Amino acid sequence: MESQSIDHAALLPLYLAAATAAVALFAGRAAKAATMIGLAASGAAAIWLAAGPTRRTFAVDDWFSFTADETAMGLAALFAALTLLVAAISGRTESEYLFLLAVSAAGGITLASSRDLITLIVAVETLTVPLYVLVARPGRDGAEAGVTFLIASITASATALMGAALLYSAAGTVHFAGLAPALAEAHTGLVAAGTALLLGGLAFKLAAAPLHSWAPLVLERAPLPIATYLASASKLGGAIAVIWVVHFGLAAGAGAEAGLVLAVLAVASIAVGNIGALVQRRTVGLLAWSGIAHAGYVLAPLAALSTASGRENPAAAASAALAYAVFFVLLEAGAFASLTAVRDDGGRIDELGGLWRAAPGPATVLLISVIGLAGLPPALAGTFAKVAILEWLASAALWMAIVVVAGAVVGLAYYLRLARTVLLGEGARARPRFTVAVLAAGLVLAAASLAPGLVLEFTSMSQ
Amino acid sequence: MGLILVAAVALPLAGAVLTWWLRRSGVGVAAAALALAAVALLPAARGPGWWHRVDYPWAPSIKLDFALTVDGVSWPLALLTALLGLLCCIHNARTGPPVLTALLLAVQGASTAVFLADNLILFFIAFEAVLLPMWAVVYRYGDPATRRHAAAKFALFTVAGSLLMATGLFAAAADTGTASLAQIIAAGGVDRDLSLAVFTLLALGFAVKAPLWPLHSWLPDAHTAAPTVGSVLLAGVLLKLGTYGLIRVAGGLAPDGAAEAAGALGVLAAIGIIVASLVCLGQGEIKRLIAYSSVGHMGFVVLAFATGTEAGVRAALFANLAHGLITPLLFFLAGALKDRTRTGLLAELGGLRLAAPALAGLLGFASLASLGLPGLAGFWGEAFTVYAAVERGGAWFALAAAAALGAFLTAAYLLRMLKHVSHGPPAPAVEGVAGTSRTEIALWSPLVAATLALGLAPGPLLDLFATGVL
Amino acid sequence: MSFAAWALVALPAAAGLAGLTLRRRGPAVWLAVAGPAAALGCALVAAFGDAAVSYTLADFGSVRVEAALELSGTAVAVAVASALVSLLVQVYSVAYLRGDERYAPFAAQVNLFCAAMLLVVAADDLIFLLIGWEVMGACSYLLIAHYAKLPAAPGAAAKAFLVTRFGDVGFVLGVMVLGVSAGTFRIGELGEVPEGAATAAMLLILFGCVGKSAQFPLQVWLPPAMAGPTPVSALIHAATMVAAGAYVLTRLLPVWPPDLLVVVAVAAAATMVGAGLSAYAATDVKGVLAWSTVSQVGFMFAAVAVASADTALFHLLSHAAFKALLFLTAGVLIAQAATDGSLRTTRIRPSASPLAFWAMTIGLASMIGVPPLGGFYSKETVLGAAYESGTTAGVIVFWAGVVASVLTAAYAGRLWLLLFWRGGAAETATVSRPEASALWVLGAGTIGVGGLYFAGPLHVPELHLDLMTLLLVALLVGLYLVGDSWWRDRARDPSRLLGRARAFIASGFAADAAATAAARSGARAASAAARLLDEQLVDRTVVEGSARAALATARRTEAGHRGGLVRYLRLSVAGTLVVAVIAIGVNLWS
Repeated sequence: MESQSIDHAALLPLYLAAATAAVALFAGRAAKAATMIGLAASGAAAIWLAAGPTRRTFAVDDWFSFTADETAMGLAALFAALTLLVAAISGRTESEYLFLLAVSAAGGITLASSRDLITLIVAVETLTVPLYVLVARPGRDGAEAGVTFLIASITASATALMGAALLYSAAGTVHFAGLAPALAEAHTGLVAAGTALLLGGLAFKLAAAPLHSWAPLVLERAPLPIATYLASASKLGGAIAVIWVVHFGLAAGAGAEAGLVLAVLAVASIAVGNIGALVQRRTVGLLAWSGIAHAGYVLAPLAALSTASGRENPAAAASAALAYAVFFVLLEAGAFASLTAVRDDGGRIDELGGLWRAAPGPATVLLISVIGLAGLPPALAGTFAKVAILEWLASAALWMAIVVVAGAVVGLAYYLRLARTVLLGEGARARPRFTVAVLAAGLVLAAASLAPGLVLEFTSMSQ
Repeated sequence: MGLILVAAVALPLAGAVLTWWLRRSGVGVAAAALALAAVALLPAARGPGWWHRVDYPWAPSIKLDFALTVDGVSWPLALLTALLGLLCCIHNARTGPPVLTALLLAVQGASTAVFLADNLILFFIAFEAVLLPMWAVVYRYGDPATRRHAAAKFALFTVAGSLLMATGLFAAAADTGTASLAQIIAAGGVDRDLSLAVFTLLALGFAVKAPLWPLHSWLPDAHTAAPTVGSVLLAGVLLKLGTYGLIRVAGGLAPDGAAEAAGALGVLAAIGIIVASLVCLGQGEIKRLIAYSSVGHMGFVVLAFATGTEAGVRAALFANLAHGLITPLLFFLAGALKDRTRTGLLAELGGLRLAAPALAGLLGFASLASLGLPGLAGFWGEAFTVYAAVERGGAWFALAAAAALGAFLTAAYLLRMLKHVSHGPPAPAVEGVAGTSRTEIALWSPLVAATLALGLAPGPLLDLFATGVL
Repeated sequence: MSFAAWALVALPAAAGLAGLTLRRRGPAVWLAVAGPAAALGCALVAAFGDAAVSYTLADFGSVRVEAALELSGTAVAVAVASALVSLLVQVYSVAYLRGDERYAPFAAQVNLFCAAMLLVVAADDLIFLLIGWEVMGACSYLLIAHYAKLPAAPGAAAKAFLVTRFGDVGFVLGVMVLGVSAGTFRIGELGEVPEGAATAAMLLILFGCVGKSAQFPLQVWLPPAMAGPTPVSALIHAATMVAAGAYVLTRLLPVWPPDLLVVVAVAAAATMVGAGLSAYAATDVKGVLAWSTVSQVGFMFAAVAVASADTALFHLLSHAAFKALLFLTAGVLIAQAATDGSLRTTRIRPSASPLAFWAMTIGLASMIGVPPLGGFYSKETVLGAAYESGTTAGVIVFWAGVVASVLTAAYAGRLWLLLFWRGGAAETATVSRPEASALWVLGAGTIGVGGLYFAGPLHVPELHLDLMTLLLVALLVGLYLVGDSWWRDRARDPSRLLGRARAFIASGFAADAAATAAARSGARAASAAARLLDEQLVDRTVVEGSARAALATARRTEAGHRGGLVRYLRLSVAGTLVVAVIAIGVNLWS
């Protein structure tokens, strides 16, 4: 195999993110500023690339491992932006903290462009490994959270790798483009087992059932900025990983198997997440449990691949799932960021009573996010997310749409409780911090509500 | 004229924001008045079929356009919404907090958008947008004892219904390739194989809102717990979203499915009429009684629609609108009564005829209208529901008989209510209550006048319905 | 002429609606009298031409409702009677309700009532007619409940409205069946209706008319309706509500399948005889008159049963005259005696109030059919029509009519004897001028209404000598029974002839009590069942039960997730294995 030329321009956002990590280590007191500038540059580069033609690199024959198309670069920019937000709302300015964040962001940026199983899993690991350290707060609770996350993550990675290995053995390639034709010929049991393990493992990042139960525990005990990251950027990573594997790799050759696995995952997540959230008394616990349900909603459009009509248009399934994922992480980021702005830890829901009067700015963002997560106007971003998946499911898998509807109804019960506490409760005292960052998050949500095209356009997948 | 369409939706919403921002109810009243003027202007320069239309793309990839249109079916409902919105704003401006005015305007704006929406996705979004402000009205300003429970029930039921409805809407949009209501109706609805499924989903959603028995159980709680203006809007506007959706959207998108499901729909509607009336017969609280009576009245609307005949659909539309005039009037009066006596229990009331003759007289008038006295608005829709069911013949005759019996039971429970409230010697709670003020009379008189006018001359409205696109 | 038809209904209606907004008595009196007077004028004008008007009121696509008024000769006659009685009732009430705070709404409601009746009389469209039909019911409700301090009034009012409305369940259904099968609601255009539809429709409509006219088995509402002011009783009993049922039946007579008339005959016969007995046993003045109304309207139904519409209307008109006279006189008498109207206590010397005495005497004489008063002609023609018809229905109503005539004479005689010939206060009392004028006019009408037999729009059978004889014999038998009992023991009520059953019969064969009890317990049981279904089963169990179940599941789920790393690993591994097994299993299976 001859050595090939690498399209370095396509890798520019990744380079910038990696460079940011390196600079952060050495920048000392300016580390935070440097990190933020670097991430902004990385995001800007991604947007520039998104506006230009699609670039591909790292090819084996016709199969490219790295593709910088509009979708990938849009997502890369989103990763950069979310990490930027997390950096902005972090009180800590230590170099190593920012270094780890930037490394994780680099993983996310790579993930969006990856087109083979190895790149994808490596990217996911790059995204995840720094978090092992970040989630652990000093003290026994923090340590337990860190250990849980570490072990859970390793288990999941092992599961995913096992699945990847099985698929490799069935198809003889790890390239998504090669998987499709090969899997159609392979032994169905093997394909099914590989699909189940791979998707189950990757769904860990998304906190989808059955690998979901780390999320409430870890999110509750992690520092709030890191919880923000876990709930937004990290989940986006999980969503992308699953969607990419399914859309680029499995849909054509093993769509039915993948659809079935995803249907089980989606239904289980929606059920467990919503039901679990119903009795949560703590804010982060509620958001974490409901995040499990939202993971189910992200997977639900892909689950339609289990039906014949769903397999006719897999791109629509992936588009719907991705659109939902993006809207969802924006709302999660808004919710966690505004929470970070008013509290040091998550605390009980009651403690947010009357936040609306005590801190109108963050409370507004929190309300928009929570109502959006419930899918209701006037937080239209959430409504559009629901519309995106329901529109697809209504045409492809009506029963799955009903499951989503049922989940959303239960969801409203607890979101409404949170929203009304913030609005009408009493007792909260807060001195809001990070006003600019929270305001920016709010503005992004407002923009996504008024011009959903911003999100819907770059998340629409062709092929 | 397109601009006026937009104004009809935008004015209440802008009014809501401004009222909330400035904390001044007067702003809200002005916005509601302007909105009423805008809606009232819509019939000017109208053509056949759809009168006017605006269409701005919003999010093409999810088929969402900001498309509004209006015709002879939707305009009366939009006008009713604007009228009730204005009355509620004025009512609230006298005593209530400005935030409540803002919420009322938000409900009004979103409801108007539902009636005028031509795009299915926009329809869904507007339908959902009604939920939160109304929830807040009930939760924040309702009866302290029951409001939490009632508000939660209302919200959960409604969202379940609207999401099921959304699924149906999206299935129809996917099947026909367009989300324009007008285009789908013109094309004769969705594919025959899909029709029943789409209709079932849509009907489930709208049946929650309408409400159709047995999906109604949120209604008595919500209507009872809501403040007076909330009950008025719930009964006068929100229920109409359900029936309008059922007739225009479900019937228009899936006519074949509607025909197939007609029997089930009719039977449920008839059960609703009878059961609601019987429940009212044993009801001891005036607002709850009026609330339950809505279930029966809307049963007539659904039954008339279910017959699928021309007369039936017109009767459904007429009964729908009449209920939107009469029941809000009843709620206004019950609210005035409860404000004065501090109780709504029939057992603690009595002798209102002697203590406050005008109030008792109006209550009597509204009750007679509600029980379908010929010559008042309530009669035409309900009588011709019976006609339409008889027209279908066969087993439908049993439904016609049930409806006619329901009308009798309606009279029975309303007279029972009047007997407890108006007649007899004045109860301690009623003694010395204030008479009706000029403002109150002015506030109620449009509803009284409209009830009388529609009762004596139903022709123009029926002709208007006949020009509508169904 | 079309203007007259419109004004006939519109003027009293407008007077009524305007009157509802009045508070002061002065203008109310003017409106009260002006409304029916205008209507009377219009009715008289309409007599000179064929007044007809129609325009579309409501277009339901497959059928239209037309605001159609058509005043045939017979309709004009009934309209004149209704308007005249209403006018006299209004005049009478000005004096009768002096000092009543709620006079203004009362007068307005009477005017609305009058307008509604005139609408029923003039309408040529069944739905349009239904407006008058039901508004009349609603007005009767308001008027009967007029006395705020009378505890029985609200219940009696509600009963009147509800029983008639119960009949209307059938009436509306029947009208709709008729409309569907004929394609129109115009009475004049009904034409040929298929036999089956006509049978169903007319039986249903009959049910409604039976309710409105207080015929068996829906007679229960009329006697309690006495709780209303006496002028209201006169209005309801004489020329409006109660007569409306019979009137509508005569309008629809062409649609009746002939075999079906026997149903009307049975209802009429049972009513005539049963109500006659109840009148004989009744314990108060107005009770006698109320039951006599039921019985006399039975005569009208009897005429309908033998398909003789004009005869029914003839009796309607003569009944309107004498019954209005009787009620208004009874009001005067009871006021003079200052009692509650109980026969036990109400006694007046004839000399104390000659006008009232003679008015009562003429009214009763007309009712029992003393020639040459109006009642004689109308009752004779009813029996004549039955005699001539030669149908089963004719036979039934003929003999029931004869028995009822005996009873009529008996209860009228008893009332006359008990009222006037048991002593009583000696001081003379003057009858106020409005009241007196009403009595004079009605007295004259009672005497003169028989003239319609000789001239007028009605086509009635010739008088039969043998029937006249039979009627007079029946009359004498009835009077003899009462007179005999009276002279034997003046201290005791002649109704003792009924023996132990007297109280039972006086209560209308306990039908009212039984119906009320049945309706109450039925409503209570049905309501309880509905609430059980609706509030307990649907709401508490299914709706809120599912919410409770969700919460319980949630608590269990949450508890199941507590327990740190080990629990987490177990859940994860088990879950992943389940997913894998399902995936592999389903794929291998299919």
